[in-house]
Amino acid sequence: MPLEHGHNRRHGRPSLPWRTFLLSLLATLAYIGAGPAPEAWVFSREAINQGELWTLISGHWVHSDSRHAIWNIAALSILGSLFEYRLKHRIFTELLLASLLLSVWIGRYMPELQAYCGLSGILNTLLVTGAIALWQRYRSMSLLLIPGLALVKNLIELFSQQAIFTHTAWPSVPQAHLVGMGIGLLLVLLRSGFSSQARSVLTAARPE
Amino acid sequence: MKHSKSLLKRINSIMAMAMCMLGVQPLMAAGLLTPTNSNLPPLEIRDHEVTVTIEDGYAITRVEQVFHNPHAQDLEARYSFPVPEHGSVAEMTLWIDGKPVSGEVLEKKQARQLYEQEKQAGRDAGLTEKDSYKTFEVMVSPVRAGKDTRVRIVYLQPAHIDTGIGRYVYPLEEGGVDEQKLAFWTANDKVTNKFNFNLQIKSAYPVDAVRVPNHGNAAIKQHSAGEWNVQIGHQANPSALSSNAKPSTADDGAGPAAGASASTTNTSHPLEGSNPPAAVNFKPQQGNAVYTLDKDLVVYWRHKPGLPGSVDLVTYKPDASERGTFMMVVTPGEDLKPISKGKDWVFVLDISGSMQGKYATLADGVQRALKKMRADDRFRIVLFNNRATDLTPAYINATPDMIKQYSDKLAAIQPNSGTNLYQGLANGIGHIDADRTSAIVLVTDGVANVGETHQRKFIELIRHKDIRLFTMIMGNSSNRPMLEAMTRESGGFAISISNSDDIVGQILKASSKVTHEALHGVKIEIDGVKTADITPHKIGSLYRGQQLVVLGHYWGDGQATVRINGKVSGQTKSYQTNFSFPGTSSENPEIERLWAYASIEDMMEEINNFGEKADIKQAIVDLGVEYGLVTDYTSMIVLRDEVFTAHNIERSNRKRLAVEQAAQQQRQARPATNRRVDTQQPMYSSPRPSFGGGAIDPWSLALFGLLAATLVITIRKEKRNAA
Repeated sequence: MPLEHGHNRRHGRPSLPWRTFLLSLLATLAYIGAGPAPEAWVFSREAINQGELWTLISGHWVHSDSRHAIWNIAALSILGSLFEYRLKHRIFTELLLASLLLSVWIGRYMPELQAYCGLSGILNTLLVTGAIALWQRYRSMSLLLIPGLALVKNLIELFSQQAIFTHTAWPSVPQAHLVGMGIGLLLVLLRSGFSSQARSVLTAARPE
Repeated sequence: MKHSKSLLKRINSIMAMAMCMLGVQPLMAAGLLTPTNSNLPPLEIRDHEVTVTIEDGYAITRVEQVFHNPHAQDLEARYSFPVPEHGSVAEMTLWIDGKPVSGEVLEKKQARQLYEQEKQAGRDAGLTEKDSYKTFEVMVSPVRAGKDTRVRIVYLQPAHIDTGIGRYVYPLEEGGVDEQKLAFWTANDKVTNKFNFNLQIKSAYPVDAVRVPNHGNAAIKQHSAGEWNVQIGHQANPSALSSNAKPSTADDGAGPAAGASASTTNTSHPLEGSNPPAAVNFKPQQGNAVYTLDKDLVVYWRHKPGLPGSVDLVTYKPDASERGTFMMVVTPGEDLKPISKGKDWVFVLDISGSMQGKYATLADGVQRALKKMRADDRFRIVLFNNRATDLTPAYINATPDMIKQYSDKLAAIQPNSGTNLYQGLANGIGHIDADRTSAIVLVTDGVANVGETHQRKFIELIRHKDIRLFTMIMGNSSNRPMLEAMTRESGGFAISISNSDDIVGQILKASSKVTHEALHGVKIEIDGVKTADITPHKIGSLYRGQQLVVLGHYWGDGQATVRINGKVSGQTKSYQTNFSFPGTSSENPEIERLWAYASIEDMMEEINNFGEKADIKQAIVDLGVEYGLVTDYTSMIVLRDEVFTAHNIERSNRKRLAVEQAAQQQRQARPATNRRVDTQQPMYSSPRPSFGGGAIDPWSLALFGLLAATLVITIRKEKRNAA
């Protein structure tokens, strides 16, 4: 968000969340250029079996209809702008890893899904990693409240299955949202594991 | 390949447009009929209670009603309701002298004569007749002055799953297509004391959601993974329950009573906790009515995603040495690929008088559909009422100018006159460009009543060109047999639509069919066990998500090899499995009637195609009488026991009902049974079709906004602390 980046001034000028802008622009161009649910890009078992492995990642960046695209890209813009200051280049690596891991999960544990598209699963990853990164910086528990509420919402959706038909062209998959959050938590744990390992290596290497 | 899925959106729009014409304004509903120009006072429907059980691939619907005569003279009650989809009345029970008497099926003319004779004599009698594809008419005479008469109707119908979603319709809306009837009769569709609708789903496959669109006060409860209950109730005076709601008992021939299952301990669905345990609305609806029978009740249930493609077998063979009956349900796995080629779309739209009141929606739907088309797609629009006219002079590319032009033209049209469906279709087919893939989307809520009306001519017309026909059958009074027959002939698919349907969901299902390949020319072979009388005679095509349901007879028992053959895009495709037919089974006697009615429908198609033939008519009468089914040529009559005896009418339906009711009680007492038979050697390697998208909704976005606000507050707080 401009405020967060305004807080982080570089050479007296506010730092813009250009990485988020770039990612949002890419998702927008993918929708405008390739249209809804482009066959070559959506996650598809059939395509993956035929060697089209890029759909493991590209599937999360294309959308089934305009409503689907608008909500997801808007959410990416908001979350990315909020967290980019803390995540910096990790926003790329985390979204990339999340895309890959979520696809692997869908491929392995959701055999009924022949095809999948949309950002929302990996946005839940971003929500977790970003909120925890902010919490690590400001130590305010209220920052963890939002991922907590999102978790409750995802759980209700998963267990209630309230809407048989959603209003997007492809039905929503609440399980993917929860798995996205789980991947976020995994990435945070891995990151903190690496950090503490790096610290202990540095400490050990320091001369007495 | 590259563009194939972008077709989805366009086709979604096309189907959306087609379905936007669903708003059939009911001119008449299910109800008690009174001649419009007579001095006869109307009777009341005091109670209307519906109990539905959906299990083992079919639905049993029981409708129990109390008619009240508030007048000083005895009167005849005549209750009319729309013919349920592939449903036939199998029981009519009338309470005579306080005791239930079930009906027997006779040839239609004979049953009518007997009824009139008894009516003239002032003796209690009841009659259920079928008026072609339109309505069932239930007549009861007399309803004594100042008294109540209780009557129960039971009908059976298949309950299929499409793309993982089951759909049940309790039909109440009359489509308003029978002008003669509308002119002669006035319907009283008000229930004055109690309305209750209780539906039970028992599935061995897990059901993870049940929904009743357009009835927000429905109470939905989950009993176990595959067992659910839906209840809708309206009551004028709770104390009246005891006096009027006489519960059904086993010895009076009733099936399980409504609400019986609800008395067992249930786990409430998390988001349905706000519903009352039994949704009884004590507020009268209109005037003195607690409920009006003018809107269909639609119930959806969704199977858990990820279920395997499967073959299920339900049998009835009480005697090992006798012939048995089977119902085989094949639910294919996902192996039909998306279609990548562009298409020409010909919309053949009904603008007859019965479309009035919904035309603005139609025009709006067309406009939105056309806007979403790509420029290399082409469309034509053919309109028909008394005659067919082309709205478009040729195929049109969907440029913004053209879209505006044709949207405006469509909006200016006033629906009126009759329905010359033949000319409409002929015009549509006449424009097909042989060099491009084409499809016709036919949307009609009526009956061909102008120009050519013979079914055979329609079939010949469809055979004339290789084209798929996708038919949206709207309302309950369309000539469904004819529309389904010609759609099947084309290798397309027909979808029935109710005004109470979830249109978005129906669009989703229809669009996933037209965007994928289909298995055409489907044939089934069963080796190893002797089988015969398999119905349907001609299976046609299987589209994405559709089940194949086959009924037939078998002899003996043992291992059988079942093969399904067909063609996908010209390539032969074959699926095979092995499983065992049981030597004896007694749990599902109703499938005998389902087989008989499916066979009757096959024969009726032949009569509709080639005209009435004495031998086919007699075969229908024989099947109707043997299996106790109300058909176009048979009716069900209820007489006093002594009159049945006096006329030497065999009580075969009473015996059949007793067997069925015993089986129903047995099934009621145990959990749903798994009928899958291809577990050892699955016919399909992939799971049933499903697809999904990660969707962020406004609530999530609001949460993210809240996160931003929290961050602002946190940063300001830190700044203040730092200062």
